[in-house]
Amino acid sequence: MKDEYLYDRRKLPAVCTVLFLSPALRLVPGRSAELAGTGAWVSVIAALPVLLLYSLFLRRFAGKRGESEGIDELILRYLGERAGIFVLILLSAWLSLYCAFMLRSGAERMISTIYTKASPPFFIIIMALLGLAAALGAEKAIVRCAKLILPVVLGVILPVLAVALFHTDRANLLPLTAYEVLYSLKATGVTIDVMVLPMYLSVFLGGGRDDRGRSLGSLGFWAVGMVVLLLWMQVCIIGTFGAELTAGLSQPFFVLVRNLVLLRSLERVEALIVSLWVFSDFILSSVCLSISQRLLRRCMGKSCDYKGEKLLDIKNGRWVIWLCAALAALIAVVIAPDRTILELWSEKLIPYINLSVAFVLLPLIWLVGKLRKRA
Amino acid sequence: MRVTICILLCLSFLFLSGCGGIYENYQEMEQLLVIETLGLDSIPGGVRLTLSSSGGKGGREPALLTGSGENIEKALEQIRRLSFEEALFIKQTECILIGEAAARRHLGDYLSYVCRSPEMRIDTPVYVVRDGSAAELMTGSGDGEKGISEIMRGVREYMSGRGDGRCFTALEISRNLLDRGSALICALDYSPSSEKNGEDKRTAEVNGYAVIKNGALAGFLDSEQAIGAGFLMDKAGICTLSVPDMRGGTAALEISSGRSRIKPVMAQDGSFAGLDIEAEVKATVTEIRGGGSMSSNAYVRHLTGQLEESISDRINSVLRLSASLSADFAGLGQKAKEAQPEAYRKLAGGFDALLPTLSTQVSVSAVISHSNDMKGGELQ
Repeated sequence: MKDEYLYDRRKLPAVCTVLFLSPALRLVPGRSAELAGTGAWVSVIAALPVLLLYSLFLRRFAGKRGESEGIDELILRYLGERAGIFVLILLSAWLSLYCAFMLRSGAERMISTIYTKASPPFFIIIMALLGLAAALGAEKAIVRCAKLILPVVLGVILPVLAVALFHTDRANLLPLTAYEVLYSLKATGVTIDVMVLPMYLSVFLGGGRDDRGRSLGSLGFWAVGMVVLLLWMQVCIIGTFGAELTAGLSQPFFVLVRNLVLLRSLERVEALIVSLWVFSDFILSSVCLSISQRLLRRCMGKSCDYKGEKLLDIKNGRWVIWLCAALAALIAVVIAPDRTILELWSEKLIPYINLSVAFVLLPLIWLVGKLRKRA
Repeated sequence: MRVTICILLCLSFLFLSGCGGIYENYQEMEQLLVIETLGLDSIPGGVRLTLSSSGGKGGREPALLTGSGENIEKALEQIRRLSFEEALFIKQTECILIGEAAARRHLGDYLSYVCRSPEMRIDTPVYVVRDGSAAELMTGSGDGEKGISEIMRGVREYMSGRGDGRCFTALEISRNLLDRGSALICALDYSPSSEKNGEDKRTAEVNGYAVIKNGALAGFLDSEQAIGAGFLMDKAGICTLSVPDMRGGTAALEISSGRSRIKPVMAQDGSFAGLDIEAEVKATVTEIRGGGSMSSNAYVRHLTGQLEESISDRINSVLRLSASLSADFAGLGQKAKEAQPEAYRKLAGGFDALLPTLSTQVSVSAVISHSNDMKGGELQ
């Protein structure tokens, strides 16, 4: 791979942050309040040790990857040809499904908060086209894009949370008994679910310069930072709405934004802020498509590295990129005809598959690689 | 290729101008009728919705629109369909008024609409119109230039920092209903106005709170009881009390601050047996009728005792209502939880179910700090 198409892997924590924001706001406040009640905010802290251990695992898992090497080469090296290809297809299917789910839930966010009379396919197709355009290029462009988006999104979320902190009511957060703290552990899985996904996706992404595993070491610091951000968000949301109302709201963070009044003059900025989350969806769908097509093309024995091909060039298996995007869009349109089914995907199916990939499949791959002395 | 992309991008800007491109719902401010007050009343088989804008500059009368339907959305649709206005803008609604009959039956549904609607803000203040309907209050209040929206702005201004009334938002009410099973909503009376130029005018007057239990109106606290509720919620603010003095006259006392400490009394088995409520109040003397003197220690002691008794009576009155309705609208359970979290967690039927059996002990300690600019008070 030409050096001009390689990116610095030290930028991956920025990608992780952008990847994390969309699922975090969708799932953590409501679902954790539903599972753990008032103690939901404590559950975020309880997730930290698991996340730190997971970052250590990822360091072991992909510490010795070479330049431009993505998950595809690693898996084939660890598992061998036949089992490797099976797992690559499995992972590719999962990422296409996740991309489809993100397209659908991103559309739902736009519909439930701003465009109440719109229908999901319009948003799904636009976002799939954007993701496709990004996946057709080098991974470096996605990474650079995430790096540019991050300050914009954080520049919105941090002031919102700073203002919201003044409206929180301590009575909604405290007191907590030892039992409630223990009970809050029920919701720890929610935080772990939304945080491990960007962690392993950043490892899956190919096209990075060799950094001798330094970027993987920084994943631990990233996890600490995001836990602090998540904790702050939970304190603001549960502190404002109380646990029961938070659990009852479908988009608590955006309801918080709708109530926001700055200096008694700036208000009703939710449309602008909700629209910003399109960036996070865009990076997430681009990363998923990029990795998914990479895995499939590797199965076909094609070179996956970007060599400056033109956008519409479909040689060297690049038609797979179009296929993955079309599949994701199609699945997104049919996956959830109504909100109840979308909630089932969001709260049950997707988290279970995601956690299985993170804590069963990847450790198994590594273990086999270790046994075969390839890891 | 780059030139083509640039040209295509530049052309696409034509459709993104915001004034008539693909984003078709752009509207000038002048086209919008900004709704500030929304009224809800129940009618057989549905809801009557009344909307009001504020009065415009140059003597423009506030717009009043009304419609009905089987639900709020249907009623809103009817108003939009039959209105002369180009567009109704309800995102800026500043208060919601609910008629008493509607509050008795459907308050939970209305709150659910506010929480659900992407148009409404969940922190919009909600009021219950006592002995009347929202439509009656909205159409009958004010004069040609000032309508219900201006009056409600005045109500909010009047109530800020006061101890005998408080605005509760849809968020606070929903949260309290979910957490405690009951909540308070500011109650309004439809009263004759103090403005007497020309014909008789009417206005909205704050009169205590409506008590909500299980999503429906269960009772009222008058403005005197509201002072007691303020102490129990630890939100005592400015209000004026009139107490009898030792010479047969009266003294007007302005409460400047107050607080309360609520401690649960535990039974031997570790369950809640009662509540010990200690209130502190500071007041100033603003008026003495009947020649009393603040330079007399006995007179000050008497007024202090009267103030303590008066506050204690109000707190006890609220506690009695709370017990009779089995409704923890003042948040006593939260105080008990803070003091005894483990015992609270073990409660089987919730704290409100316990209220009728709890013994309560109220003690008030008052300080009359000063009498403003008069040392004594004897001008006779």
